[in-house]
Amino acid sequence: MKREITFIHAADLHLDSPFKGLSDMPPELFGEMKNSTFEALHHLVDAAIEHQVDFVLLVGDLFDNERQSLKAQIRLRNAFERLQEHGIPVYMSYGNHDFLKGNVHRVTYPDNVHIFPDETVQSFFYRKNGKPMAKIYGFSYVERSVTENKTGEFSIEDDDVPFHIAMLHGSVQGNADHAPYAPFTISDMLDKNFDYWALGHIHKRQVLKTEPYIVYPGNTQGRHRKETGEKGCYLVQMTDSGTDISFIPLHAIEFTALTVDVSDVDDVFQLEKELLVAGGKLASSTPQLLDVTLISSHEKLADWQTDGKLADMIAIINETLTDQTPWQYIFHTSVQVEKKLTSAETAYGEHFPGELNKTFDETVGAEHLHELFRHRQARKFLEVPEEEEMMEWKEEARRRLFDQLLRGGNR
Amino acid sequence: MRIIRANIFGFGKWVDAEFNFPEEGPVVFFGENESGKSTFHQFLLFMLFGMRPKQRKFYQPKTSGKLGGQLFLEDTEVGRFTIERFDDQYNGEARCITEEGKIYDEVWLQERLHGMDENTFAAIFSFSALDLNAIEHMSEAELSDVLLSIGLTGSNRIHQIEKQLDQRLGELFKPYGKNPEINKQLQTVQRLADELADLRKEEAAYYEKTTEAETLEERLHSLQETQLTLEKKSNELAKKAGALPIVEKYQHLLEKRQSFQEIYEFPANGLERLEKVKETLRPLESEYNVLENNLANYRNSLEALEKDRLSKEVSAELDIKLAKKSVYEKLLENRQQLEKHLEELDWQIGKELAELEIDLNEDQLGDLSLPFYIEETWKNLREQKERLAAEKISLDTEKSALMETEKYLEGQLAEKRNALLDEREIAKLQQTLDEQRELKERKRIREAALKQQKRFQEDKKKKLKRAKRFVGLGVIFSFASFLGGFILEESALYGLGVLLLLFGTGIYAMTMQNTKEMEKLFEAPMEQHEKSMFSEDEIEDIQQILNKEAEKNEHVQSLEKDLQTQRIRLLQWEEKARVFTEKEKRYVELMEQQYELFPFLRSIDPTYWPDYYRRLKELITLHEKKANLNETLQELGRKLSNLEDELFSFVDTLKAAAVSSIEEAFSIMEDISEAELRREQRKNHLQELIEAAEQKQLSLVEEINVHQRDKDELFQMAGARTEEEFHEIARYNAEKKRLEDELKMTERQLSALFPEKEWKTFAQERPDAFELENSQKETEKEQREISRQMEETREKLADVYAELKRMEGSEVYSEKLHQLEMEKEKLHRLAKEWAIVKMEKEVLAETKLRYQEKYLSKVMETTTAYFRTITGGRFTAVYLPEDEETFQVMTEDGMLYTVGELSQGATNQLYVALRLAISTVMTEKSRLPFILDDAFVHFDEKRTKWTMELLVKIAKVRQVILFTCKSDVRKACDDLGIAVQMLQRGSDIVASYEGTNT
Repeated sequence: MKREITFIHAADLHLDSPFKGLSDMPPELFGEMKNSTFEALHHLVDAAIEHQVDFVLLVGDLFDNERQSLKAQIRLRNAFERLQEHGIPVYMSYGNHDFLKGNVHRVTYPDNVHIFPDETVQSFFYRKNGKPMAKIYGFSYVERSVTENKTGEFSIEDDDVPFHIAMLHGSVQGNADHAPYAPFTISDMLDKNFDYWALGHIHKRQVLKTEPYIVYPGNTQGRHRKETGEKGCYLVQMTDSGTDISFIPLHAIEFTALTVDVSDVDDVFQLEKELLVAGGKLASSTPQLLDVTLISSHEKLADWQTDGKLADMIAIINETLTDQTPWQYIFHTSVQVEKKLTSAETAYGEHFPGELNKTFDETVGAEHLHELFRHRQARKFLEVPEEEEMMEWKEEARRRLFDQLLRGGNR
Repeated sequence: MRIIRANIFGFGKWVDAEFNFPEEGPVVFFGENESGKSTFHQFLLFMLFGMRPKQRKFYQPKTSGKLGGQLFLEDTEVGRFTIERFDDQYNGEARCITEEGKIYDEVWLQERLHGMDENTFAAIFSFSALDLNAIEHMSEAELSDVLLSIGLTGSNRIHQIEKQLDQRLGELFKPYGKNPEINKQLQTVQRLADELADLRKEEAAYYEKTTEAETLEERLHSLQETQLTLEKKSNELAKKAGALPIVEKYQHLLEKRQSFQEIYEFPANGLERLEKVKETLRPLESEYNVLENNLANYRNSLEALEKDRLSKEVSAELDIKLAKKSVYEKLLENRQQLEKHLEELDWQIGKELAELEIDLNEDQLGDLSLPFYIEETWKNLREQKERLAAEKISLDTEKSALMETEKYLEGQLAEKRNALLDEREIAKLQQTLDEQRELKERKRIREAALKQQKRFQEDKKKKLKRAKRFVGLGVIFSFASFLGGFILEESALYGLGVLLLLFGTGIYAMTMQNTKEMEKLFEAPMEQHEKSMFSEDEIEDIQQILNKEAEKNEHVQSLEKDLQTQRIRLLQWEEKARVFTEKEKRYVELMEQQYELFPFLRSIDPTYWPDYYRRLKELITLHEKKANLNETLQELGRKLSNLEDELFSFVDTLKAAAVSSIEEAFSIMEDISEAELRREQRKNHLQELIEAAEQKQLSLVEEINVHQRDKDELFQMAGARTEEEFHEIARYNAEKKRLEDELKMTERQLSALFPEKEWKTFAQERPDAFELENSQKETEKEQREISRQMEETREKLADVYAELKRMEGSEVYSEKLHQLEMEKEKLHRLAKEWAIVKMEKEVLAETKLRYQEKYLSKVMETTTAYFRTITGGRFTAVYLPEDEETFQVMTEDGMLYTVGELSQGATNQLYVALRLAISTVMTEKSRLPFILDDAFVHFDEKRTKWTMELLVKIAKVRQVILFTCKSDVRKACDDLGIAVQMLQRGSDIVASYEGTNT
């Protein structure tokens, strides 16, 4: 008999997750946006049914936070029930966002759902036609974080079972970009001889290794401007001869970065045409949220940004974009103007602008922000921005300050 | 950068003016008020930075159309270059020409000026008395601030910006405020967070509700189980009640069975088997009886049959006689055929005779004899007749053809003879023709002679000419010879001349002689015969007539010859006719002979005689055939009558009655024969039937015996002697079995209802019906109670589930969560805004601080040095203000004074020193010229001098241009050896030391 299994590997559903940077969106679009994580879940179930998979793996962070809304859990349960109707089992673990101790509602999932109950690595058999066909290993986060390397706890049992799949929600050791959750090294994994490492936690889709496959499927729906492009899951087909994986997009709405050179634009109204053309080129089957970067060698662009004309124009353009089907919406705009040292800089003597730049370079930024970010009330709701964002802020401050100074110099 | 020369083409008051800027020391321009100092100053600025058109218009010279000029400069980087700028060229834009002749535009110039614009330049590199005036009215603090910010002309702007930033920060956030945006947003967020927490608590109730639901489910479950138990019990009781009659029946059966103790052997299925044997025997026996009856019948029939049969002899005779029937019929048929044949012959002979149409009947035919040679004779006669006829026709034809030809030839001859001409006439024509021919010949000869004569005449002329020429030539040559001889005195030549002359004359004479003879020859008289001459055609006609006549003659002669031949032929024909008549006579004689032999031939043309011979021969044959047939017929008649007699006599012996015809006789015989045959067949059939029936009877008896034995065996097995006994035993055994079966069935019924043990005890207990009914009622009551409780629990459960469903469907928490996140997002954005403004402010402040720290010390050092110089060493140090304080200065004697405590003059000096110091320090790189416009108005002579000394020092490093109207300055310059250029209006040099520019 041919030994074969097909399954879907998804993670980081972040159901009912709030979205960042979209507070000005028209309410109806925002409504769609709010529902997008559920829509992606729906697509996931559709895909599983369509491809007649043997089972579905969900590797942690199904919910956005430990205070999961009941709605999220009920929707998930409904999805599981649909899978149950089609005889598709689900193997799921909880991650750092939806760790077990945080859950207050305890919605009961149907029998086809197998949940890894605690932080000890355990395993489930997957049986096909009564025969054990695969063994699935994994663990769940009980507390908010798991700091030890869990790879060591994974080890293959029952050698006669054809396929062994490990589920791990965590990040590569020494990855500075993310908080180290269940840190692992690829070489540790290679030693373990598993057929497939189903990872979760990192929202950017990536295949770390192909033999065996060590895969982050990414999240299923982008939630802010850093999570761009198609989002979805992997369809995995395993046979004795090898493993094939293919990506299935599930997102309901796509975050897309769009950079447009508007050096040739003289009039702010011409931006509409440029942006509509550029937006048209992105054409997708799903609605898109556009993170637009405008580049120009012209200072006018910076002026428009400063005097608010740009924002007004974007609002006008959005009216057109949102009328399309599927709609597009510019939710974030940034401007890059090639800086020319203008005559006026010398107005501050030969040394002042240089000195100002130097001061900016030597400033981190955060040291000046304690007043607000350590404020008794504010600190509950405000996180000190990460380095990159801080940098961005600082550059904005620099741009604005120079702008004001130089305008002053000219006036 | 240094200005070398200024060339004004036209600018305000100045038209076509040129100013040089010496390399060393400050460049000082001295001029009174209204001397054009300021205009010149403006010109410099115009050349460097340009001007707006409106401004330019203001400086349009009244006396000249030109506006603009040149400025010659030296730059450390690019060397010398010239700036040209005119109002009407390039829209007032500058054109810069380097020493290499390269031309650049305004942008390039801007680079040279380090991006400086006019305002900036004015602020840093030039100051005037006006600045000092302003100082007088400033407060202490302000003064300090202004002093500090001189180095940064933009400092005012920085100050402004700082204020704006502070204001914006205040709008955004105050740590203890309520109304700033962030504070407000924080409140909103907090409120939402609190609401969310409440909602979360409410959602936590979901867990309680699920627990309640679980408890209720469990209770419902246990109730259901209890209910089940009760139901079972109730069923049990009902079953027992239902089984009661069966139990009673069971016991009754048990008792009954006691009376059936005996055991009798009986063959298995004995009754059926007996019945079966009997059934088999019954048809066999009846079949045997039927066979017996049949046999008797058959035998009776056979006996009756034997009586009716014929004797053997008669039967054999009958067969023989019947066999003759076919012979008889055959004979009859033959006779008929013969008669028919005879009839046909008769008819044929009659017909043939009629066709011949001759005088001959059938009887004569029998006597007629035709020997074989007669046929040949008749054939010859026919041929002879035909030949004679043919010959006669040929002779007749020949004779008529001969006669006709003769007649024709005679006609022709007569005609031709008539057409011939008379002979004399012919002779005459012949003579004429001969004469004409002779005439013609003569004429031809004469014509030839005439031609000869003509040719001779021409020849003669030529010959005469030639002869003349020879004579001429002879004379000439002879003359020449005479002359030669005379001249040369050669006598021989005379001789020659004579000879030549003779020769020439000789020839002439000869020629003349010849011609004369010839002429004679021709001049012989020509005969002219003019007898009548016929033309050619006429001659031809005569010839033709003659020819034709000859032809005709010939024709006549040939006709005469033909006629002769024809007459000979006619004689030959007459001989042939005579021979033919002889032949005809002989033929008629032969014919007469035949007529006598066969008189009937007279009526027949001999041509058909051979045919008649053939047909007569045939008729004779037919007649002979007819005679033979008649004989055969008579023989047949005899045979038939014999046969008939024989048959009639036989029939008479068989039958008493007489028979009328031979057919009837045959019919009677056939009937008798057939009846006999049928009887024979019947007899055979009966004998076969009897045999078969006897055979069947034997086999039946055997079969019956076998079954009889089976029957006996059955009786033996049951120990019965009779069939009656056998039946009795069978009945007993059947009754016993029925009882046992019923018992078993009852047991099965009970087993189906209860386990074996249970019903057995139950049967032994002998239950009471009343007791059972009571128990049943009690159980039913219990069941009803449980049902009620279950209903109650279900209702409760439904409520809980409905509540759960509602909670599950509720999106309030989710909504609130998103709302909170959105507001947090807004908060974050505000925080970002605040953070940016805050950073702007902090960085600006820090930069200012750093900047001051870094450069002000330098500035202060320089200021101190300058201040000391221009105060003549009265002050030794200048200190930067600290905190709220102002500048402080220290005197020679170590006393410290604040700015406010200084005299106006000293303050001015300090300002000038500070200005100069800042400019020097801040623009070390650019080193643009430093332009001072009456900056020292309030300085006394001494101070002016000190200041000038300082300027001399500074001018060593950078160009210093000083405009002044003060004589003090001029004097100081003179003292210090500085060249002063006088500014003149028109041709006057204006020298005034008084008044200030207002």
